Amino acid sequence: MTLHTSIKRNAYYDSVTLMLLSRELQKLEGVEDVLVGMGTDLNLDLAKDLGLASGEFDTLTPNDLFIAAKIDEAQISMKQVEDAFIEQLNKSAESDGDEDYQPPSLRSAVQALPGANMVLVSVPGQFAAAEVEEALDAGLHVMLFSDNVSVEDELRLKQKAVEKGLLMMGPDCGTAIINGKPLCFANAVRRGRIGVVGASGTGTQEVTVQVHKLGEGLSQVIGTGGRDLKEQIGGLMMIQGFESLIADPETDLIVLISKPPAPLVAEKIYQIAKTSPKPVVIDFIGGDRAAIEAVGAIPCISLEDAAQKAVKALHGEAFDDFTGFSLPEDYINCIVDTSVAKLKSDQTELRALFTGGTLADEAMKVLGVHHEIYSNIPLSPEMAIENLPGGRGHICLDLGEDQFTRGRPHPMIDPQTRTEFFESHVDEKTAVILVDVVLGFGSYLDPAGAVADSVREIRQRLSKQGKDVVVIASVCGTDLDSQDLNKSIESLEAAGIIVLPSNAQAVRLTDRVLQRIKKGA
Amino acid sequence: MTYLVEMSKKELNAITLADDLVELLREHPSQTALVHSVYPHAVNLLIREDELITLTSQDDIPPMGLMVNCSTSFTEFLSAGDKVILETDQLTAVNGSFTVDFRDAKVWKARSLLNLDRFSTEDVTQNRHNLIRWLAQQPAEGLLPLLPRLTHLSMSSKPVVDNIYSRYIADDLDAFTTAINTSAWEQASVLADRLIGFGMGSTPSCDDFLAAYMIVLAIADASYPGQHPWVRQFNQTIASKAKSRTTLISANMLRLAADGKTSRSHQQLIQTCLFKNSGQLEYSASQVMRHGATSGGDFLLGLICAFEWVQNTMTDISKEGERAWVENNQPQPVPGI
Repeated sequence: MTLHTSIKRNAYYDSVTLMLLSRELQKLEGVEDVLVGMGTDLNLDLAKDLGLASGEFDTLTPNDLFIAAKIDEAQISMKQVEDAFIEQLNKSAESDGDEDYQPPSLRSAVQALPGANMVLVSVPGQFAAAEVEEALDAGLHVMLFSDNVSVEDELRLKQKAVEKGLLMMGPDCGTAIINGKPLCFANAVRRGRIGVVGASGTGTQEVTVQVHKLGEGLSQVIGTGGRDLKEQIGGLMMIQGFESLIADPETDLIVLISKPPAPLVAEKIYQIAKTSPKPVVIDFIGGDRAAIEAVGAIPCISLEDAAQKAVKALHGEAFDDFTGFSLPEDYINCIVDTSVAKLKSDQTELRALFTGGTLADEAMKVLGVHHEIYSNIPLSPEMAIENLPGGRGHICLDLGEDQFTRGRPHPMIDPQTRTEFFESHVDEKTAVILVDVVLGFGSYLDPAGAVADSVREIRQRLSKQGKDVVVIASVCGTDLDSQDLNKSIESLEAAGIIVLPSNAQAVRLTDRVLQRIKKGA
Repeated sequence: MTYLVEMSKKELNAITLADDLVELLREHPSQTALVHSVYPHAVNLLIREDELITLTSQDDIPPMGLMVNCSTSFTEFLSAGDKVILETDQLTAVNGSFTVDFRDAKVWKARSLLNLDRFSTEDVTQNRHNLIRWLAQQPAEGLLPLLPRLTHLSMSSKPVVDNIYSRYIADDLDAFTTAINTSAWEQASVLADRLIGFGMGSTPSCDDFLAAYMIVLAIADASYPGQHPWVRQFNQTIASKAKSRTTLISANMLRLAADGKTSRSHQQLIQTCLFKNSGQLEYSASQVMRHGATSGGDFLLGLICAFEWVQNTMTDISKEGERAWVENNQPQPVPGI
């Protein structure tokens, strides 16, 4: 082995380049050891320590780059090492070109990508309004992922968007699929003839996933942001999106999804639905069924029901409210029997830990009919989690709410928050755990695996007290999602989790089990 | 016969200028600078023998910097050694290859971290904890394999693969942080000799680490005047040592850090860490991580260690600084140019 040093005077490379180059040089046949660095005293000390120092080091200054290599000259020469360095350097420079260009401003981004007509804004809330304003002024549609934008700014920006005939989806808009391109949190679904305007992220995801499972596809999925249908905003983007889909030749049927809008806003939407030339399915979760029917639109009882009715209406088939299960009733009864049988008499409580707010909301609407459910997003103020009695009770949490995501990622991105809640909120009194598992773009790479791991730990913990627990889940995902729907279901079932094909069905099963426990008690 | 080579002249606009650069241009309205180093999205210009001005086309701006609107690589039209003329309202390449017009640029405050209200150790502690957790999930390049050791935490979630640089410097970094944590600053400034200039790249890893420390110390000194009288001397000592021990680019970074100056993305992260924040920590940290392969991570590690000193030594509490910082950072029109 021979020691060689190559010096490049006043040469400056960032650490990413040097690190990659070091690794590539180390891989060369005949190179035993190599160190690349700037000629500072301490780097030279390191080279000496590694036995890579040579006499040429005396001439180095901190502003010189050195490549010190121990090579087997029978296999490679220092000239070849240097050539490899230059070759890698050129490759690195090429890859540092336009494709890695990170524009410093919206203006330069638009210049770098001529023809772009939509901007996704995701910056801290206090800076977001200015970015959106600039985008709208430039004639660009906007998806605003950021939250913490004031209602006043939202109203002003949406008014401007409407004036210019643009979309301003958001703030806090997490789901959209535009021209087949999923934005932020969205599932991989096939394209088709159903258009969706949604004021709720996971609600929209659940409907699009169910539409895909039923063999149909989506034309456009437009988000509005959660506050859009409140009186202050007046449903500006729901209306804008709705009218866009009416005008869209690729959309044959429209689905609207939201929590119940403010009455005046609902009325505006109903009037558009009344004159819509295309069928309209409306799921204003817990909304006014009679009012929807009165304008000739199709009301729904769940997100899954919305998807089923949309697909059937598109095909010209008759439909009823879907209140049951995909599995036979006998099989469901059997699940309920075996589930309840493994619980002890003091196990009575529900712990519903959701990552999707609308899925949690849908659960509470159904469960709230027969049970008192305490939550951080309660259906009525008296059911706020702070009012949970000392004797305790059922809990349903939306872990994606601000109070749980401050300073940490959303639980759809990082399962850690829910893992911690499994540890802190599931105990010997817990009878049923209900969870959602949301797949798709933006979501954690293996959310089902994370839930399965937590459930195994819970079971191990409870087994020390001779107890078990019933765990019910639904997976919001498709066979096209990168996380793999089937693999996710298998992973959950391997941990003894009962997996239902929709949130609505998982909630109904939970309701049945809780009713049986109550009856038994 | 004369052959004229027609070059397409780049006419760039400055979007933002650092206020310390604006000040310098006012004091020295016309001067020549030399292109010192060129990267695809950044250029360093050398003035007055050892000071650098940075042009950047990325969404961040350093002290003594100007952010320009340029969608092509600087390497396509600039080379080390080129001369440029700096004036109050523009920069012109002597060879005529490009100009940068400053007239519509906004001004960014490079020292706004020194105007913060007092912060609470409670917020810093919580944010430090969250930052450690987030950083533990990032690729362990540069000094990051030392995260568990320097934070005294066991992180079993994934195995840490170290590198020769981090392995070599581990004990020295440990000794340095211990000295700072006990406010043994004279010992720390001696131990810094074993850190300055160590690591890959034009800003070696340990310099990024030290820069974070120096900025946090400068903020603490500004927010709690008189409580840590050694800070200024300590920072100046490190900056002075850096002149001969590290690269020119890095020595400049440390000189600016000694005065509490750092780039906008780093400012934003530090501000986020000092006060209650609304889920912006990961966003701010990821913006910093974008710097080089290791520079961002090395800076973050330094920040985490420096916040340990804050936790150990700071006691006064005030939580009203956030709004003041945001207001200070709103871009303003360039006065007089």
